[in-house]
Amino acid sequence: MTRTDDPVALNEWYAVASLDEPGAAPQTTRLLGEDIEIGPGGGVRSLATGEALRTCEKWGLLFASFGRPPRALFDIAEARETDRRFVPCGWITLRASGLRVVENFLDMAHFPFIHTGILGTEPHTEVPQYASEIRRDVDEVWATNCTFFQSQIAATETGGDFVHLTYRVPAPFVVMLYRVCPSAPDRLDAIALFLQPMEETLCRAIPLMWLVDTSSTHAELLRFEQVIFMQDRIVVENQRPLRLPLEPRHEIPTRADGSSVAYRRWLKEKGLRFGTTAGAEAAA
Amino acid sequence: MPPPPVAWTPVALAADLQPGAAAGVVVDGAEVAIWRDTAGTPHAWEDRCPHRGMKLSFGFVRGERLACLYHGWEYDGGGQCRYIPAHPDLDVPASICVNRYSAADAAGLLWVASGTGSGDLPDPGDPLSPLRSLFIDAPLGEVLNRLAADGLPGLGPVVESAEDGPLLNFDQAGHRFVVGRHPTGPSGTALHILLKGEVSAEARAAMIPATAELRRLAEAGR
Ligand code: FES
Ligand SMILES: [Fe+2]
Repeated sequence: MTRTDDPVALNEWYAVASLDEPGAAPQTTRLLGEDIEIGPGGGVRSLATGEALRTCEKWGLLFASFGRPPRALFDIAEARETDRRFVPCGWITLRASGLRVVENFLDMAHFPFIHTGILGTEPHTEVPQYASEIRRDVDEVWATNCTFFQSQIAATETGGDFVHLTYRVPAPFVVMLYRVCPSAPDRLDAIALFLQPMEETLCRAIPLMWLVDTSSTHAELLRFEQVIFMQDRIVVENQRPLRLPLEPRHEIPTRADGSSVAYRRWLKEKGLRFGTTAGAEAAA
Repeated sequence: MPPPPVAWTPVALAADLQPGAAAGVVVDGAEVAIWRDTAGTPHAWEDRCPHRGMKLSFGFVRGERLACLYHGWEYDGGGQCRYIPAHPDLDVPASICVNRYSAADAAGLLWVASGTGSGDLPDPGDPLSPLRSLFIDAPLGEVLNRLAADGLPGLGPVVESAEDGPLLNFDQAGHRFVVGRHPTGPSGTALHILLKGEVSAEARAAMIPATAELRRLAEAGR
């Protein structure tokens, strides 16, 4: 395993550890193909070269970068609202490209088939028209006006209704979901998924939630998140190719895939290769 | 992904793929989805949904169609996409179709080939009783040499063995074995083993330990 030479991937920030689980001993993990060590004090160094990585701490996570990220980490306004419930979930390892995982998170059309009876149910399979765009001023991808018929939107919900969702991709390996909170319709629950790309087709993911909802227990929320992830794992580990193709025409999108199309175009514009089929060619 | 060979390759015991079922097989490095519609007709397709690449072998059969697990796109027996659940009213463009291979039932085996398949499918005449499919981490050539010389370990001497195209036939312990040879890759082999005639379930069950022993010896290279 060697570190990728993809400069776009190298110059990003990546969540590599939770700060609430400080080990007395250094932890070893992998980032962009290279083994790294996280010291008890939060220092991160490459086990291949010994060099120290840039680090920063935010939202209870330790972030690291091999390169020089051109900008600071993005902002999550909801994380600064003190009356919210902060729910950090656990890390999940997936034998998949982190980019496929982001795309899966953006996708509503799979709810009735993969999260049957939880996030969707046949015959309510239609994905109503929504808007997706690359926001040039902030260099992010957004999908807005998303609606979907869900049978059970959150751990507390029973019955079913149309949910209103907004998706945001603030960095290539981070994806967020904002949803109208049923108990406080003027506010949005915020959920962020941070990916640590370990190898082209191996990643770790950690969801963080900033919720308005206070009725479900922490254990219920974690359980809910875990069920959803175990279901998505079957998909992202069995897509072919495992790496995300950025070339149009390699896969066939429809209108419901608007967010995926924008995300892929944005990644291609950036020239990102790690975790894409272009990364596979470069490695071959 | 590479397609499977143009020569017919046995990929499963026909009885192991029930009507309404789908499964994934690897043929010489090519991932192939095999499935039977509810009428029992076999199909073999590239194991990749054209939408987002989900393996179609994870899909489910709905009558005459295979539905992809991920978003439920439904493909008819001709590989043509007929229904996209995210857009129930959409007239699906004809350009959305899967890559199809040939599939056929013959000699108690399910066969797959690229294109229309080259060569004839075997016709054993007599009925055959399925024994089992055996997956071995060793190259096909090595496994076949061992099998032709010694048959199944512990069942006594092999009286006669002969290759019949993609089949290997041999007599051992009073039975006529018919083995479909299936390379999964350069160092992987699947054998689909049948017995000529009606062989009782007890007699077949008694041979299972010998097949496991064959795999053990072949993988140990001894
Ligand atoms: S990947 Fe098959 S339907 Fe979407
Ligand atoms: Fe999902």
